Amino acid sequence: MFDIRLFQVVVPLLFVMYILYQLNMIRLHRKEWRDVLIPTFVAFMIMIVAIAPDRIAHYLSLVLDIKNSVNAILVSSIGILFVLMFRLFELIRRQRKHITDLTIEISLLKIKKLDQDS
Amino acid sequence: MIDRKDILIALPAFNEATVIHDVITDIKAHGYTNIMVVDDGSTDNTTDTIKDITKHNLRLCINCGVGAATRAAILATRALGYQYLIFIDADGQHYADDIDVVVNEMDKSKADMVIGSRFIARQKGIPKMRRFYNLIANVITNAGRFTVTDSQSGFRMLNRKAIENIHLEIDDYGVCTEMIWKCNVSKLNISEAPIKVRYTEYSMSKGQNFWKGVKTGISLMKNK
Repeated sequence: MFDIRLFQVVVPLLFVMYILYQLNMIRLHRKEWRDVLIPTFVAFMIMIVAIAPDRIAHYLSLVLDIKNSVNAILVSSIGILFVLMFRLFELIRRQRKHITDLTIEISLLKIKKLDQDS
Repeated sequence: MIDRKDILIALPAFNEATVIHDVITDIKAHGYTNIMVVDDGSTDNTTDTIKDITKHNLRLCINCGVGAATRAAILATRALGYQYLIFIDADGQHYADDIDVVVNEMDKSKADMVIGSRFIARQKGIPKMRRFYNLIANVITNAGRFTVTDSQSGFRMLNRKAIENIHLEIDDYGVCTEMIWKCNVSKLNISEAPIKVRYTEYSMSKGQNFWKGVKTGISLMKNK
């Protein structure tokens, strides 16, 4: 008989709401698919782990060939964190590029205006 | 014969208030009056120091890097319509009398870009570490079509064709190599002219070091 604990209901519900919220953002054209894909995937994974934590931990320990289930979860989490970190770096790089382009554009507008005035 | 009126001299500058006035005065004394300082978000009074003695001033409101300042200078030259653009370091390490050497080389060779090279004439006084950094940078840069002796020189002259065709992307020191690569892609000709460089304690504190070199290498790999 399944022994359902409180977090196995609350966590999936919260993440279903989060995924629906992200999908609604796409529907309203406030976000693009590529912006939503990774956070939604991570939310989905957490949801799955929350529904059957013991089974997932056991499965991960088998796949990764790590005897301890907790260690298997830790190794997987570190892997996911690395992926997220790379994504964050890429986002920062893109934002910095936008800021530089804008800064140059502003300075050029000023110099063109001064040139016209003189 | 290249007319001096067609030449714009650009000095990318970041916190150079202590030396830039003398650098510009020296350039003007050699008959070049079209000078543009690209103030890369300086936090000292670089812009105030030079606003009355230069023809054009470009100020980036935040510090974006020497590559961004170089890109801004090229875009400004396109807009202002000058036929030639010369880059000179604002820290006073270049000699203004070498401008004529670079201009003459462009006139003679009809190259699209002339690089002022520290290594053509055997010059004493170049620190060993600088030679070493340049050696590595030259190996990376010369993976393309051109073989240059000083890929990291900030003393460069571009003609209108180069000004129109070079589209830079790197914001930091990698811009020197990127400019040569872009010339390669756009099939522009490069020539070199011998220049002298003075290394002072001040200019040494401004240039490349090991970590900047590593960062430059990474940004070049990203933009290859």
